[in-house]
Amino acid sequence: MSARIEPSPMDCAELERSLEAYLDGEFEGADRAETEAHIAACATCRARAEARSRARDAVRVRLREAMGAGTPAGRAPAALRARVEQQLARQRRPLWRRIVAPVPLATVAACAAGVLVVLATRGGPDMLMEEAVRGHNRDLPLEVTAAGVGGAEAIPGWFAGKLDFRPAPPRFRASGVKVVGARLSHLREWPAAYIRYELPRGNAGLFIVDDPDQRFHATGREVRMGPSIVRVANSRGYNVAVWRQDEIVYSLVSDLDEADLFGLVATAQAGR
Amino acid sequence: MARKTLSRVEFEAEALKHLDALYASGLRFTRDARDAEDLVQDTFLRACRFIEKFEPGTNMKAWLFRILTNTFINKYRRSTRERSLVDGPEREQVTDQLHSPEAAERAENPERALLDRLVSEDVLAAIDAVPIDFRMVVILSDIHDFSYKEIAEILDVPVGTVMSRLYRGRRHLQRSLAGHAAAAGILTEPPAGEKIDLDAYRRLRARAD
Repeated sequence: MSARIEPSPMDCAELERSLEAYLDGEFEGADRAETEAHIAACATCRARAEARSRARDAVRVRLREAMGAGTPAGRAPAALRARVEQQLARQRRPLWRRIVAPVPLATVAACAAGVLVVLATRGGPDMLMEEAVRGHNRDLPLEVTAAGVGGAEAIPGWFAGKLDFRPAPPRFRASGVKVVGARLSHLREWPAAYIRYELPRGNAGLFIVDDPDQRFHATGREVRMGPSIVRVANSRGYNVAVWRQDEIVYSLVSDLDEADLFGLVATAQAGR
Repeated sequence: MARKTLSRVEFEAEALKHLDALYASGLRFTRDARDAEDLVQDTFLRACRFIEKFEPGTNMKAWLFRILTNTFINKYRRSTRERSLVDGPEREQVTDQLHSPEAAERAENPERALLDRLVSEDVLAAIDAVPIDFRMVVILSDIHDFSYKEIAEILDVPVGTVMSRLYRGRRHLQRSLAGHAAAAGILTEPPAGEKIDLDAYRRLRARAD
């Protein structure tokens, strides 16, 4: 003889705890059957389950209308899609291109620091510079600190395998320049190494990107510095210096004034 | 014949199918379009880096979302002012309103009819006002239909934590929606005995100031 099911208060409390999971279809087999039996037998819990189910469905419908597939908030901007596709294509580069590291110029006459000749001035900051300033200004946490990785010399090693080129940071031969740390970053769709420096008067962030196809043409004031052409522009209160070494483009963003920034960049060109 | 690895091109094609979903979620996580774009780009960069760790035949969408949420938590969240609200007991004060069916009905469903009259901007503002730990779980469950187990793996938390965050996240969202309905003038008279939570609305105003 089977007794009528009398739901105990304990059962109701239990159902309250598991109702969400039941409505989300997380229950199977015995759990599901038990929950359904309780709901069938208990008017209080039935009302609660029905109310919760209606509320859940109403919110889900509105959420999907607001940000689901095909809505403005549910669609990646076309420019982002293009950048991601380019980024993927770039990473598909043949192996030899990823292995061949830039060969530094062996012998270069010492940079005549101080003898800076402005060659040309073309426009204001360009996309590369703007991106670098934006990235630097956001001040995202570093993924590795020089102290944590065993000194500034270990930073390039930390990037090994994380980028498809070997970022060789320039050596700033000025006193008081300290490597704080680094993280993986990007300028638009191009993966970049980012290194942060502490300076006697201010700080700086350096982006290193691989640019074998010479797609970056920095604008701004153009200055010959030893073997390099360095371009400088100002954006959002930062001075940015951009120079190229073979396939690698360096963008140094700093709160230094232009003369100090030139001085710092010059120390990295000397004896390269 | 089953192959052990996806080709690079197959991997990319499959991954790109989830770009919209990743961006939509990233936008709600960061609440900033530029940050969301950066986050999604970083996600794809990392996905490519870890491509050999993806097991073909497993759920690529869940795998990509794991990278997205990881990247968000490690890089972006620390740089935002948003504070986690999950420090306290996660199930506090969730059941005290639910004594009777009537109270339950009110608490669950105070603005059901009004929901339909809210514009999408209000709904987005309401979800954005939910604390981030709860918001992530609600989005993963209610938008992307991930199971509790998948969400637990994506966020690297126990299933019990997913359950309590989802529970509280949904309550938050309902109160937040009611707050927006009140702010929009749709809801003028709160149901008897029901306190309309305007916290979401105030936070929104505070941000706009």
